[in-house]
Amino acid sequence: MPKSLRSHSSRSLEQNNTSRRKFLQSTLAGTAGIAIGSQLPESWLMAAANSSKSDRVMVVIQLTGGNDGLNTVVPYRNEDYKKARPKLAIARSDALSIDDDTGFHPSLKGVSELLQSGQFSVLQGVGYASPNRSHFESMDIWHTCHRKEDRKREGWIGNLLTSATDSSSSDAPGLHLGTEDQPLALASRDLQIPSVASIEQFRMQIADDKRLKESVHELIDASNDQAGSDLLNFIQAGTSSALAASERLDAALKSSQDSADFPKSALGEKLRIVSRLISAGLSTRVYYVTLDGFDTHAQQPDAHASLLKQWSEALSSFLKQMEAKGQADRVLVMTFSEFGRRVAENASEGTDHGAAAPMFLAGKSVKPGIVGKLPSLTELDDGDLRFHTDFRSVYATLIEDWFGVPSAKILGEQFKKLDLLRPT
Amino acid sequence: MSQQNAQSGLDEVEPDWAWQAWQPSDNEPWNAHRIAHLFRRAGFGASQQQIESAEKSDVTAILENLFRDAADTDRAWQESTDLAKAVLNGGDAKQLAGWWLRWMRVSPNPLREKATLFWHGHFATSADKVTDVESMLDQNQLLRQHSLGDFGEMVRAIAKDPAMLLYLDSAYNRKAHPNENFARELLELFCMGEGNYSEKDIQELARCFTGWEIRRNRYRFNSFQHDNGKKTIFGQANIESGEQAVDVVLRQPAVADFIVSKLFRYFFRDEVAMPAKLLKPLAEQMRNESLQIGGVLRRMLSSNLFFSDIVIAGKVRSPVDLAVSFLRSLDATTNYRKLAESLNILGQVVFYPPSVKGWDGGRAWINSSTLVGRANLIHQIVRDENTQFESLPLAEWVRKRGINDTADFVDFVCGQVFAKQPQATAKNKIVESCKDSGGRKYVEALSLLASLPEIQLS
Amino acid sequence: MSFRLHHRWLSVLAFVALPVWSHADDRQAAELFPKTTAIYLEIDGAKEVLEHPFVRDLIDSKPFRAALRQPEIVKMRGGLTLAEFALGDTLPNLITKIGAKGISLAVDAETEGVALLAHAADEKQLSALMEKMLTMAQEQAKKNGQSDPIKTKEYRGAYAYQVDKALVARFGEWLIVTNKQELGKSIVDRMVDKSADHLSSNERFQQARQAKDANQVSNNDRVAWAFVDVQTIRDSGKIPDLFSGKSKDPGGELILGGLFGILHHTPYAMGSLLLQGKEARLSLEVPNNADWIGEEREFFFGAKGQGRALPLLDASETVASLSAYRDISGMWLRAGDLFNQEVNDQLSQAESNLATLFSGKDFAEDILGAIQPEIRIIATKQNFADGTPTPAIKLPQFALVAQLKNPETMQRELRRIFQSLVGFLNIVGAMNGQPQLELDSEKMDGVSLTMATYSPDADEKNLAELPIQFNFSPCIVFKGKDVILSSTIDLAKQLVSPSGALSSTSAASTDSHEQSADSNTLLEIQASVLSEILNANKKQIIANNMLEKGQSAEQAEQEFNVLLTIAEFFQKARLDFRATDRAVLDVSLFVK
Repeated sequence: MPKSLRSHSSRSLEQNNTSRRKFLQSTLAGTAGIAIGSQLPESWLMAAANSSKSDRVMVVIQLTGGNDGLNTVVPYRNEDYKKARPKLAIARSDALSIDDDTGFHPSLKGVSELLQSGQFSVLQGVGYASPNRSHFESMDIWHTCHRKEDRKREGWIGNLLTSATDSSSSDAPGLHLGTEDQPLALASRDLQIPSVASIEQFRMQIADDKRLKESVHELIDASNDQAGSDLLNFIQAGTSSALAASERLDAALKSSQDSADFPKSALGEKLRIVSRLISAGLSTRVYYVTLDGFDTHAQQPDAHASLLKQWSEALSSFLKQMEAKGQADRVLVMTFSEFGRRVAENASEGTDHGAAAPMFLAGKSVKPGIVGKLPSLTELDDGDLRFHTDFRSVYATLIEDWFGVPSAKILGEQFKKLDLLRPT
Repeated sequence: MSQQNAQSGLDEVEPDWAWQAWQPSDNEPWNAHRIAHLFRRAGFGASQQQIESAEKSDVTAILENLFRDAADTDRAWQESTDLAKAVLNGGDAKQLAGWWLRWMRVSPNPLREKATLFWHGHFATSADKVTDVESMLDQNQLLRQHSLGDFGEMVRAIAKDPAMLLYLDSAYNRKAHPNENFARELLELFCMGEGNYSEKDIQELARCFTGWEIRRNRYRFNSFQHDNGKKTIFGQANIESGEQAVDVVLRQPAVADFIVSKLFRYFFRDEVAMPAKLLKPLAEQMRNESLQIGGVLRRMLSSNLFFSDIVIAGKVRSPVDLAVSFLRSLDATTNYRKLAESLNILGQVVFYPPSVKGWDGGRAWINSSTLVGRANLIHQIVRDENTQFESLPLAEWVRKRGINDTADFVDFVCGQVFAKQPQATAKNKIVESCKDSGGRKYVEALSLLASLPEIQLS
Repeated sequence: MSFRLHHRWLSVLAFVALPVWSHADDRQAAELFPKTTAIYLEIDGAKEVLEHPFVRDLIDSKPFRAALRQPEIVKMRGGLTLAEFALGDTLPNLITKIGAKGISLAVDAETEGVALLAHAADEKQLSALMEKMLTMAQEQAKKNGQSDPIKTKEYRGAYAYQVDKALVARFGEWLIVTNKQELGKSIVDRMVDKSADHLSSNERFQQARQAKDANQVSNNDRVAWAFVDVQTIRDSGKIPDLFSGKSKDPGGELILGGLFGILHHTPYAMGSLLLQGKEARLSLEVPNNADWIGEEREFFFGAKGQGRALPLLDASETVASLSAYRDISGMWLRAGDLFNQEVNDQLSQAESNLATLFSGKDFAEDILGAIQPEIRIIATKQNFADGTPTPAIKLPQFALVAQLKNPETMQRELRRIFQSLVGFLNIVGAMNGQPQLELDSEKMDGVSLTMATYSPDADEKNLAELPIQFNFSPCIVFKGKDVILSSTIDLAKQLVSPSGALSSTSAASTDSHEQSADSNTLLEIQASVLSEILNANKKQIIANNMLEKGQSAEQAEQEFNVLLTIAEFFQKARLDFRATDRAVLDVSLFVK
């Protein structure tokens, strides 16, 4: 039987509320049957939220095009690095020091501060065996955990959400923010994950008119009192919670400025929206955003600097905002790219498609620092860094330790977990 | 699920009564309520004039008209075909989605379009992967042609359809590496459903399709790549060609069961399982009629069960159904291209199903972002400068229809659009809220009506 | 309709009818508006404008009459007809009467109010008209069940009526309409006190007036004139974006950046609407000074403001022709001074991508930098002979023409880049199932052509409705110092042919454009060719209307025909920008 039918087995109106809200209704409000969501102070929801893995959120930032890992996390004392990159090597004096051997690209001020405050980790040498150097195929591998020959059209996050979603919630389990095609990582046969372009899509537009907004409110409240078919009850409950979410979002939008100063970049805008949605109490588990332009075959320095700056500024503003809103404990940010770039620079002051590269985790639950060694710059595969950590081990760790769900079925086999998160 | 069946009352329904042709009676007259239900399910709603003229006719004549095979000769269809050609020149499948939405809205054969949409979800193929727009249109025409006809013919055609084979990676199916994708979906999703076949059947079936290729967007049989060995499928030995294999599959009894239960989900209720005793007579009929679709569907749409309270207002509207029915039942036209884009957030863009499984339907349509999106969609449609009602602005059209105040307007819209009537208190509240809004009162009333939970039901 | 007036109104009427000034008032509006006026507009005589042959032709034209038949307009006209009946005269006549000696408008910086002054020929006529209008407004309100919308006020002998948010007053031959009471009062004050503190005493206004009066050529044709006190607006800080240092829009900077540069310094701007024969011209003019231009905008004006556009190119069935002095390479390289951080970030990413596309060449320096700043673009209608491959959507063909700084080395370089670009397009195209380009080259007396063409599939049956790619046969052509990058071989060959625009003997072909030698930017659009292009794409445009406006085939066709009628009414449009000691932007519309 298809999952959608199984998961939507019969429920009464009350059962449609999330388990979290039900818990709150019975313990805090004391009465059953109280209207959901909107009437509970946000801070109560948050306090309860932090206690359980079922409220944890992951934000995925995809750096599209192949980020140059070596110029992101710079081995500035490494002579081979300097030799391979006569024009592109970043000097020790310019880099933001991490330790004696390593420093961040000078654009990564925000990221560097996150590391200092214990909220950032660099996972060195991540990749997979017999790397594919085509953007599309390598990206598909990262998304599906399978090679093209397997023709899997399901993504690891799609699978994760299928097993980790509280099917009684009416919020979307995952969300892709952006105008590009939906990343394959979110594909699922049993779950439809929305792609949205702007925050407007979460707001009831009719609420722009105060009088009509009040009318809608009264209409929906009144409709909840009526007895209807099971199906109608389901839609009524969904409509109530959609209206509540829309209003919380409206309130979040109207409430003072963001605590953090989000940069006016595309990624900054996307993460600003994500921060609003998380603060508005949506039960969405995974938010997916992308930053394109990392395919720096020529004239890399300025382009790469501006992209890294965009990523770093947006990421650090986002985490500051989460901290200010009391959400920091339940948010983890993962950043990856489909591959790194070749060790040696090319003749156009750029770099070509490579293989292994660093991945990044950020958030208060992260064990900070550099995890794993930088792969050798001389023992190369076809001119590219060799991976020592399978990206699926990183996924497995996040699936099990962050979301508390078994990973073998989601990823197709059991991968070795890593020690990446602080114990809870 | 059994609990839901119990709640729906479906388990108690006797097949004899259920599939008997419905007859109007004093208690259950042939009235606007039932006519609107028929047009909603067997199409995308109906205008007030259509309902009024149907009241003077009877259910048999209306169904006769819905099942008539006039698509190819229609002048409107000719015009739509020309329009599709012009859209192809632009080369964008998203525009083709706008084209089909327009045709659903204006087609004189709405049941054919409703059924074509059903088959599009059944044989789901996405332009995301099949970048050749013309192949997508060709497949759409193929589905339309067979939508109420012979299921076997449709499967035989789809097995060689370029868009389908491109979508399922079977475009280069080699002897040395048979691709099981199409073979698997043919059994699991297209013909039989899980549990009715073995992995061995899939492997053997895949061998039959080796050498079936798509070259330059056309089907071609490459005998060099065809596995000429003998295959055994469902116990039948010595099968050689793909054509023979499809025929073997179509002879399996599970096919009719599978198709009838999917028709039931789409046209009747998608929240409940079809009880075996209700399924049996229809599946038998379909097998007896060599897998003809029209006969079974006609029996279903004219039945007692169809006109009962178990079925009326017992379905969640799909996004396309919501939008097109809203337009059709209010005689409205709009910017179809923009409409196609707006349907994206609601989870249903035609020519872009999310996976080979198509759209799940039912409660899967509903979550907080799609519900906000649904209310916003109607809100935007009624405010779009390109939205017109019989080529008039809303207020003028309302006047033309002889409606003079907000209360009458709200009643009128509820009758046209809603399968489950909103409560009187809700209607009063809407009237109260809008009546002093001058020229904007009707637009506001439509926006408020669109926020009611009842509008999601069909 | 009857005019049974309330006795209160009779007394008002009696007052208004009293001659306040027995003699005609010959003061100019500029002496009545405040000195702090930021924007001022005057129309010399309403009658002259309405009776000008250009306006008469326009009103009489097919598209205008078609527009009058649109349902919304018909409704509005219905209201107007009623009003005309009530007022006992036609609208044009009414305007002519009220504004016989001119109509003027001012936006005051201090009060942020707007005021309109109409100078009537005859005081009695004006007061009677006003009376009728007020009565009508009251009757309308009564009919709608609303209370009397008009409040009457008196100020220093002027009677004013508050209608909604507007204040309407009459003083002698003058009708005053304003949205700000203080502004209205100050105008009346000047009428009574004859104070010297008015717009005419603004030094910049005086300079503008002098410049206007000095231009004898335009004075005969001018029907409206406007003055903008740029310095006051700039000092007020109300429109920071217009005067801010760095732009966020590279496109806008490329097209108009020079003008913005001048606005940073210029004291005032003035504009004139000129009607002459078949031409309507809007002419904007600001004082200019070569010293105002910073190095960062040399890309626009050239060193010391000496950059000049070359004569416009012409070819058969030209639909648009552009010629400009723009050192795009210079603009790109100066991006740090011209644009904000965001734009610079985007440019550096674009640069990286473009360098990848152009085989590692620096786009700004090597590619854009290879050509002289005098660039010309021409677009013409593309014709497809019967039986030849024809796209369903028929785009105009266009070409960019410039001169190479260093023809010997750059010709080979650019040819090679063109070839690898075609190869790149083919690889990308093949992945997406697009048609493929085929490279070829040709040499003919001193001209070298490198071109790429699409060929339809051998089994393609319908040659008349091919994909949009078949509009293109991109080519790069070198002739002497000239480089031509054209979307089609046909256009490139036309341009370099012995009778073509680039032939040394054909300078005469551009004589028909009466252009100034000082032009920095020139653009001409031929409406007749435009309508032919529309016609060639009729099917597509109609399909578009059906899908985007929800129209039926008949409605869509009707709308297309209206569009065509409008295009056919015009002959051409022209834009000419020149900057010497004055910067002038002329935009002209020519009717047939």
